[in-house]
Amino acid sequence: MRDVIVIGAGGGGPVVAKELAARGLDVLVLEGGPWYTDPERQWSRYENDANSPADGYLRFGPADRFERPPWFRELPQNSFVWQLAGSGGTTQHYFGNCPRAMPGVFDDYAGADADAYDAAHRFPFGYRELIPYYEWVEATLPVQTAAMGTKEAVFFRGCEGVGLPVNPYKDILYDSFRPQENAILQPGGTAGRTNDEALLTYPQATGCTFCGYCFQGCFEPRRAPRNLKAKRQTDNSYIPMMLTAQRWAADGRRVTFTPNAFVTRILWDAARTDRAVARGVRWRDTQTGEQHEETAQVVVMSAGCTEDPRLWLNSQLPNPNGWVGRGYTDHAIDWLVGVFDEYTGNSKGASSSARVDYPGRGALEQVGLPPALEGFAMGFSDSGVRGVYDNGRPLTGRWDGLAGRVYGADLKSVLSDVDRLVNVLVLTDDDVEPDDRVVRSTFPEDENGPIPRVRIKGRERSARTLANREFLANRAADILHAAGARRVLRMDFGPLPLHVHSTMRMGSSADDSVLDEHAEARWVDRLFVADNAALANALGGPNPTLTNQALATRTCERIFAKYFGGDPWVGSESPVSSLDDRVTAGVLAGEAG
Amino acid sequence: MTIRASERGTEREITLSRRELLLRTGVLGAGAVVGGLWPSAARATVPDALRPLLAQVADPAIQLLVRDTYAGLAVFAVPGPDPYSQAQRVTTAAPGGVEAKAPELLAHTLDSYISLPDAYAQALVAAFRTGVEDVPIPHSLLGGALSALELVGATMDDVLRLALANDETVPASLPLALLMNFAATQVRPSSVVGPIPSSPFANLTWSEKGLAFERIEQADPAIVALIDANAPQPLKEGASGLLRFVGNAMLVFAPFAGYSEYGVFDRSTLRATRRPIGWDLSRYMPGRTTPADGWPEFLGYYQDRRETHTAPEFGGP
Repeated sequence: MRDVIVIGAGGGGPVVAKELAARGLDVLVLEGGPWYTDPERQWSRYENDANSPADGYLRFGPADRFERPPWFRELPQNSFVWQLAGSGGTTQHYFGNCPRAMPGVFDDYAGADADAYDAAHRFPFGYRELIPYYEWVEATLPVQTAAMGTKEAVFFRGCEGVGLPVNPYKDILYDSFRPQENAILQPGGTAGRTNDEALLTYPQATGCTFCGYCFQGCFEPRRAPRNLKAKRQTDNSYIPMMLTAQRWAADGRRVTFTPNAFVTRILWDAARTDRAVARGVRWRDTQTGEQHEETAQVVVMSAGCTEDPRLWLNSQLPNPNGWVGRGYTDHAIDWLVGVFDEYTGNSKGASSSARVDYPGRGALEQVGLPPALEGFAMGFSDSGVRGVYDNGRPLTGRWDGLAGRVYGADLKSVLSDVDRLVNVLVLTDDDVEPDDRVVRSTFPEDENGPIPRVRIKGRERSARTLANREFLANRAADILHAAGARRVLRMDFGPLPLHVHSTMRMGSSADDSVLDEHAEARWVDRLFVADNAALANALGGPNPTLTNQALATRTCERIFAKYFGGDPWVGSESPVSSLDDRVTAGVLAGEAG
Repeated sequence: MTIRASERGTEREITLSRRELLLRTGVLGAGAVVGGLWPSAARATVPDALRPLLAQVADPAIQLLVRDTYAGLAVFAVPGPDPYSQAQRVTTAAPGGVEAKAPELLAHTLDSYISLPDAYAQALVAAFRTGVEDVPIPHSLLGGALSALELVGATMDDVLRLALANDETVPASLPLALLMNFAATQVRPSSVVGPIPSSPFANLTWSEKGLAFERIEQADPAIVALIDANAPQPLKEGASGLLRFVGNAMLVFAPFAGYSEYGVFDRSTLRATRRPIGWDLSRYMPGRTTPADGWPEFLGYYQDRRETHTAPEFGGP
């Protein structure tokens, strides 16, 4: 019997594994996708080869990507869910953005604008309580203030032009802009200062080389030990730490990591009529088809907002209030493109290094992309094709013309120079809504069992969510115009859950939550959730990974105290950075893959 | 109703029944479809004696239909100087989606990404084959003994009937191509003939293609009813969601495919063999064929601030 089994090696699971391995527990991590042990050879960074949902190396599917299809999920609406299997999970795609949540989404908030947030679904504890965990994770990753390139300079010019103040802190206190706090190492040596590839290898270059491929997984600078790569996706940070815990923690114990292991069932016993106890998992080897079972004192679900509910429902665990899978929040994201007459460096540098926060409304962030992903973004809309049809949704505002896809000759014109664009991503503070949810699909099951169906209402979101989204889209257009854009285009995305939260939410009330205030399942002892699904709400708009990781760290203390008789450590110890020489030594010794 | 259309410079007449015309344009509405009128209206044209010939031409005919339809979609997103762009009457001098091999990537991506149950995929083909009922088997595929098929007026509908009768596994790209073609005949019934002989969708003008997708994305009631009338349980009544999903998927993958490296990518080396067309179109990394390891883009730190801390009101310095 293991001490702890963690399901999933994405943004949250490796945090749990690293923290509990440092306490000396025997931890097994099961990941449904492959383990990327040598990305410099495995990843091309070409856009289709990386991102194709069919057979890209960052797809959601089994490891043998050219031989077998991806795992299909039913989406009964205009939408695209960007799931990802493999070590690192969706942090392969993420831009490393690490803002803290809005204080207004926690239950101790007493600001004058308290009603501006999703007041019915606040976190069941206070913002101040989470700050030590934020600081712990920020030191571990580490999180650093983003460097600036041309596209950031253009964006900041727009923010200054509309009169926004600068936020010099990690916390979000008022409407303001700032460089991102990013889990990306600042450029050092030759990084960011040359495109001579002979000069861009470690240790001449350290940190971000401004290659522009955050979305395709980061392995820069070449030849750097895995834990010293620029972007701190978990396979560059927490996974190396969990696999070298015996080196850097006094009582540390190396985690057992098993890739290609798709968990198909939580094993549990009925403790009483209304309660269950988790005792292990059943998983399927995606390469051989063999079934395995393993038991543990504690099971932690970290498979993501779509797969956690799938696994819970397929395991026939209790769901007395029906909230498993409900409350699927996604920031109701949207996209605007500014077309400039000047060089913007859109395709170069960290993909997002600048942001604006509007407490009670959401956030905006500048995003740079290479051309095919630009095409994807300009082809995704709930408002039809510009100049032909608007899907009954003629959205007008501070942008130019109606919202909608940019297509045909217009697309070729807009994309005639990818480095004369600036994109803005709209991150709406959206409400937890029970009818946006994951259920089991009526489509046939796949080799891993019944598949999930993700239902998102899109246009029928709450009035507050829709108003926030329009507010933010207009502010984005104002900033782009103030920055000097010749033309501003709004896409009006359909649901494109890049940020997903709260499908297994923690909450104060047992009526509308799955987890208690410690992220343990309300009706299943010894079963915890540690990923974005555990979040109580959409955080007010900030990108979720940092809060997911801080909350997972807090959850680890609870697991250790309740089931292993240990003491908490975040308030009494100093965090070890994932850049620590002891981690590097373990990586160089081949212990991290 | 008789319509006249031009195919390779030759005027051709097509007679559509009034019911066909009304159904395709959506006027007759869902009730007629659910009532079973529509599928039964289709008719086979090939005598049993010629069915072996039909079997010979079935696979290439379906491949051509799929290829031409996705080429029509690829140039809707990213036009170029090719015949498909000419057919939609929006061309550009610079190459576009066809030259980037976007049609092949679109079909491949949809086949793999969208996993339709076999019975559902076959039901969709049965529903939408009426959109190509009047589309002849392309002349380019016929000759010699196969010319007999031309003489009896064999159509793509006959090919699809044969495929369904053989209970073949249907990749998603086929029913989705048929969906586009059916919607095309709703927008303009005469699109069954035109410069692209095997795809009504590819014969639409650029704006008409948008109107066809409007019907798909808005889950046109006639299309929804047609799907639900054919769909097996428990998948009935899921057509609206399916249409909105696949409509967006096709529209979003098309520009992605046009600007991607797919057309020049070598899977065995994980490298492009030459510069992708989309990189030239977007002036992306001039002169390169491989992703760059970095750029001299570092300008410093905004207001020279390299680190931040927790705010004083929350205990920071």
